[in-house]
Amino acid sequence: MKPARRIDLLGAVGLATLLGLGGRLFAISIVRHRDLRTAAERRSRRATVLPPRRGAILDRNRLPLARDLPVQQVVVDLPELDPTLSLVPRLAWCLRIERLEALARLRQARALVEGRDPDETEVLLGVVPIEEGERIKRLLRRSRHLRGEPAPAGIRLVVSAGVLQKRYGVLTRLADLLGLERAAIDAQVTDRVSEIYALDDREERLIAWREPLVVLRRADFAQVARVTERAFELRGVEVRERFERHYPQADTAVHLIGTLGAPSASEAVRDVRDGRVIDSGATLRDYVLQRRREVPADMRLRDERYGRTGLERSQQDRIRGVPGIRVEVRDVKGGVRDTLLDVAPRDGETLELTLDVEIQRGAERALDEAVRRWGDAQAGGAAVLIDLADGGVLALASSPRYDPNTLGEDYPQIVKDPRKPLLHRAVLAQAPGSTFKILSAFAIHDPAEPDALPVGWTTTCTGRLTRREARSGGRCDGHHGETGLAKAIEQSCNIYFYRAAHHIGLHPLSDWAAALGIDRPIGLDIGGERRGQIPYVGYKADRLDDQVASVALWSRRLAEAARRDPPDALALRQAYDRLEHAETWRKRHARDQTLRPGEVRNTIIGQGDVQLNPLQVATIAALVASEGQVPLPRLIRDTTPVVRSLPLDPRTLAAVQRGMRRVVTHGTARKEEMGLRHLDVAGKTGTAERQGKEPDGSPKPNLAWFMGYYPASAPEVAFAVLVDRTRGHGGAVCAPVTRALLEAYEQARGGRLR
Amino acid sequence: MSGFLSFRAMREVSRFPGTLLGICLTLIGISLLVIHSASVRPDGTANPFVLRQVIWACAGLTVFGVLAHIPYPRIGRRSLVLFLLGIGALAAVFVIGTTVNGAKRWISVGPIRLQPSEFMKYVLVIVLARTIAGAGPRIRTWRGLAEISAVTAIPFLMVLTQPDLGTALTYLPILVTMVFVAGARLRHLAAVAGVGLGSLPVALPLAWAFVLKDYQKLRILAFLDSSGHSLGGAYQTTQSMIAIGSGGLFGRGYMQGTQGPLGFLPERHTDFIFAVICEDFGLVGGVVVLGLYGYLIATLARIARSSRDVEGRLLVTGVTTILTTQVAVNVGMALGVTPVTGLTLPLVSYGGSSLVAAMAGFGLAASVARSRVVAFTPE
Repeated sequence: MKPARRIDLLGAVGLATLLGLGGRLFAISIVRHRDLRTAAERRSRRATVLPPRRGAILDRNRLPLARDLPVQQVVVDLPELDPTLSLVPRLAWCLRIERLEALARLRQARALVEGRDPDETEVLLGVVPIEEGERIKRLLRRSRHLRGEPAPAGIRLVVSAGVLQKRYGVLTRLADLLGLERAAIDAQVTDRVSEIYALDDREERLIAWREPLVVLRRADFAQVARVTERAFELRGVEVRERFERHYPQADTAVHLIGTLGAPSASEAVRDVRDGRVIDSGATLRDYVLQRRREVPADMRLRDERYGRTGLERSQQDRIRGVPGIRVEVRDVKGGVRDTLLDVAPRDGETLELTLDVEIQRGAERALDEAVRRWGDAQAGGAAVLIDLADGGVLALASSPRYDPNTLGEDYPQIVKDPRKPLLHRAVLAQAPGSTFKILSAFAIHDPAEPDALPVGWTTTCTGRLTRREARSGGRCDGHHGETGLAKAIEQSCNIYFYRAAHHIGLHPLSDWAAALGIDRPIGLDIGGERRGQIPYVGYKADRLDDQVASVALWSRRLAEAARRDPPDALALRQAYDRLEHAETWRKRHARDQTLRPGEVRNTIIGQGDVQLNPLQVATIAALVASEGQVPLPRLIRDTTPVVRSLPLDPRTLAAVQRGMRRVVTHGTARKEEMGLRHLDVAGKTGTAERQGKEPDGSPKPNLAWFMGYYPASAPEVAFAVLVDRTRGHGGAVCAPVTRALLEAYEQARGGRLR
Repeated sequence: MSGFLSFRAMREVSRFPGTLLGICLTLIGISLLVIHSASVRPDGTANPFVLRQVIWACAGLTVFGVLAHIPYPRIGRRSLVLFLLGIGALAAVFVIGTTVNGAKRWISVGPIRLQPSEFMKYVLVIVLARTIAGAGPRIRTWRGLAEISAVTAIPFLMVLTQPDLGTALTYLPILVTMVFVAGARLRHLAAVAGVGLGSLPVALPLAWAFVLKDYQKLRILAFLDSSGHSLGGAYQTTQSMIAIGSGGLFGRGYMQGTQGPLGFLPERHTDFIFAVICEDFGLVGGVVVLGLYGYLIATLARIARSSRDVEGRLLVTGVTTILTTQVAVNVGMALGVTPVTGLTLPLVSYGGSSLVAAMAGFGLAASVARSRVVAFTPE
């Protein structure tokens, strides 16, 4: 071959090499372009989510009941703090040991190198046989902190002291600055890590890693200043602003304000799947890669606390706010170079209530006192005060209560408390007793009803119904003699109503109750209100249908739970219990399908199957006070008042008003010690009896009620007071509470009791 | 025309390898542009690399001019002196060398760090060209081949023990191509290649156990697992491939990338400058640079062909081989097809030794070009 040909050949080889490289270049920069561009962007961008401020809840005088306070939290980013942590699963896999053992090995290694020269010391974590090079390659690919050293025995897996010391170094400095124990913080880190490794789902683990560990929930100014100042030697430590819900009035109005809680596991999973959690893996990635730029209103933060009860729950959408997000370009050392996306958080609305904290507190104090004095070990109570002008709820008290600021810590005791402090008794439906007679009165004398009795109708009360009228029951508390409507209310005469019941039957009662709105929550915006119930013609058949449906439902659930593999013990247990309960009631209802006269009698005096919540009982009082133009109760100031109009027969109304006034002056609440006698107030007592016996054989304690309006001559407010589980009588137990409630009302507006 | 310039001057101009110099200047220009992009520190300030590189470029051009002006046989005659000087410098590295990343490769002279192994490549080319040309037809015998190989073996082993496997390995293609062009029997070359390949299974474990340093083994491990992240070579390769891939067809724009300017890509102004080119200017930028190298290789091959003697032809062959090997290994490294060795991209990577050495090599080629036979007839 000629030299020239040889040169040509070599040149060709050189050019061919370049061509080959060009091909590879094409493959990377064109074919893999999208993936690699994404990789570059993920590497250089960092997203920070910005929590919104949840709206405050204020009373009518703008006194805060609940508000978000900014807190500075000191948090630690785990992978940043301890680069060895993220290696644990692979290390375990590589060395064929358990994860916890791998963790332990790293911990030992850390203890070993404490105080050693970070550059000179290395720790051997394990040796992998050469044949398993594949394993170690995968491990090394993940980390720049581990080194593989080929040795005759195999590949020695080595980690430098510098990497191991990082965690203790940072934590020691941090503990110093915050005035905490390093061991305590370290234990927190270890606990969290063990928790994360206990998670089975890989995706869940990845998300858990990204969540910083809160070392200090509320850092004071000095601590924040110290940490910020030393930030350069505290890699992985950050100070972030979060909001914490604070309830300045402690337990006042706790039930109606409500509480916050973390979303349940199933809600969390669903929200993450639907892309509604801004800092969950996939959603955050979309923002980082700028596939999303807007933050919709239903977006939430992973650690956002949801309204679980009360207004916090019912007004959740108004007050929660929407998180913001900032996506920045950061260099390899974490310095911010550019901001790609900056959506400010939108703070939640402030909620102004019609409630008056002063009245509320007065009501609660009196209620607590009455419950303590009159109630048994499981007793509780409620008090409602409604402004007749617009339905605004001035007080909505429940007893007993708890302090929402420390609910987390107190929870175990609270759930064990037999008085059930978590119950919001002001919206819980219970038997209204004789207070219901006021509504019954309008039904009895409704001129629109063909069977209605005339207003002047009287009957003679001899203390009980005759044998012919009722085989059993049918008793009255006294011998009232000749009794008309006003007197029947004044003395709470059962006989008058029993005989009326025989006359009109069930449907006028249920019609009137429905017209007022007993069968649904009566308030416009009061969270957690339970609807009342009243027997109607055919309600027993409906009740049975409901139970039959319930039995069918729970049988199906039980079968589903049993089929599941592995069997879901909890679901199985729950379905079985529910089924058993439904079946018991189905049998009971199946045997009880005829409406007996005694049941109509019970209904008309607010016993038996009648159930109203205190708010509804107060609304009955409002019906009388407003002469048929009932303002529906409402709590939030900017909602439009709604008036429910019920045409009342003027003569009946006059008799009822007279009767209710006389209750206080001559009737069941006339006694001096009840405190209402000299006030311009009208009302009605109620003492609902529970059927059945206590476990010790004694009869079940009563519900004591008092409802009415004030001032009787020119009504401004309507009220209802309930003390549950007492041996006392409605007037004796509840009238003093009413007095205190009205006193608080007058005090709040600078007036005096009239 | 001849009124302005003498015939001699006209001949000088026509023989001057303008294309060669033009390509070199273009590449240096690109280099300065990209080094500027790559010298931005993560915190936004810039390293003073461009200015230094301009100074080195001036030095390189001076060396180019001087060597192009000197007839190459005058250099060839001093090849023994050069060889001894080179060996001496390599030996000096062991005594007064600066240790970086566990290897002694540099000699510090004041603020300048010199890498004798870099210059040794060109000295080797000069020495081999002289020796092979002197050996004449003996190159076609086993004995002649062995003598010549022995000359290469001395610097090869010295650089290998620094240790600098990458540079040492570039000595081998120089020997092979020069011997090939000089007219060695294909039979001999094939036999050597065969024995070499046959001994690999024996040599590799031996090399693994005794010769290779830990970081070299790891680099090889990392290379074998080319998709790897985060460890030594693998980490760098990953970052480099992300940089190249994110550039796409037209690139992200000058200094608009993320891998380079934000500091994710290590050694971006030296070893991985090709990745910066591709991140900023995309496939188009990469192809332009590769095309310039291709043009350079073609130009050098033409010079080699038209050389009037064997020594000149071999000199250009050696220089071309150095160029091609370095480009192939460096670009291959950025593309994840060759191991991470620390070989620079000639003329483009930041670094004085590399630039001056490359320009010296092209100066030699220019000298050969100037002495070639040109079909030029004055009117």
